[in-house]
Amino acid sequence: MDTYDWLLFLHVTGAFLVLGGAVMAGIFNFAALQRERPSEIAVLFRLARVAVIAIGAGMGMTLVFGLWLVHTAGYGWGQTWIVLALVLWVLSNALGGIGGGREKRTRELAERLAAEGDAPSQELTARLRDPVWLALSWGSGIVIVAILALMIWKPGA
Amino acid sequence: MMLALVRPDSWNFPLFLHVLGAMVLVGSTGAVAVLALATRKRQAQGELLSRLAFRTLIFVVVPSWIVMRLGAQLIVDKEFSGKAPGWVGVGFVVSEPGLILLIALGVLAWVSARRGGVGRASVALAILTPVYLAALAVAWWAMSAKPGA
Repeated sequence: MDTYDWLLFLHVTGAFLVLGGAVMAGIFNFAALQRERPSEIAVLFRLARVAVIAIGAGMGMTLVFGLWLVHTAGYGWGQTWIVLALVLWVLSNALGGIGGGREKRTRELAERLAAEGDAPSQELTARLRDPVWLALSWGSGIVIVAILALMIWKPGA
Repeated sequence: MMLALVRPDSWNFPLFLHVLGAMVLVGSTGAVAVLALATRKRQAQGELLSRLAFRTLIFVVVPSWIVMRLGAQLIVDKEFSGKAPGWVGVGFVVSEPGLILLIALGVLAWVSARRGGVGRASVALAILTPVYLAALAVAWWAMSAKPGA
């Protein structure tokens, strides 16, 4: 195995962490949407933090090893698929970052309500079904799939 | 290295299906592993977590395994109509016996969910799911690094 093979493996590992983490987060968020008791919602959001760590590590790996791969393989920096992938990488991070902040506040509310009697709350339900948060979270996932498609089809290569 | 550049367009969609299926498979298996471990640690929510682990296996893990395997067969038929190289064999070694392990995980998750996340089935699920995840990691190493190619 040469340098290119190792870089590709590490880049793909990063992609597995990002997309796998997004799937994991999606499963926990979707399950939280079906629940009403704050303690149950809180535990699902706590588990989603594992996914957040995987996504963060994967995002770093895809960028570092991706750029290294472009240099090693001799792709042009201005090729359409590389420029688009970088733009979408930034967009995905921005959407995920804003969505993640809202998610943290929802988890904190769920934890507080769980400690105060664990009764279902309209405020918590409204936050969980907030269309802006849902659009940010799911939108970030769709952007990640679009990056994967770019890596396969490589338009402009 | 240059194979990626000269890959025919007709290979792209099956490859996309294969990779997307594999990534969803890894993520959903990871979710089952996290849920199985959490079931052991958080007995108060054992019923919810064990039920979610079983549903994730049935509704996400199994469909993604099918998409991954279908995509793999399509791309292998196009790319290696004759003899497939060793690194492709690693993928088959993980996916086919892995299906037996996946069925075993499904049975364990079902029993665990029926018993509210307590008992030996939930312990076995918490041990075997990370093992399956490790096997998937070996497959993605072989598919991306292509040792011996």
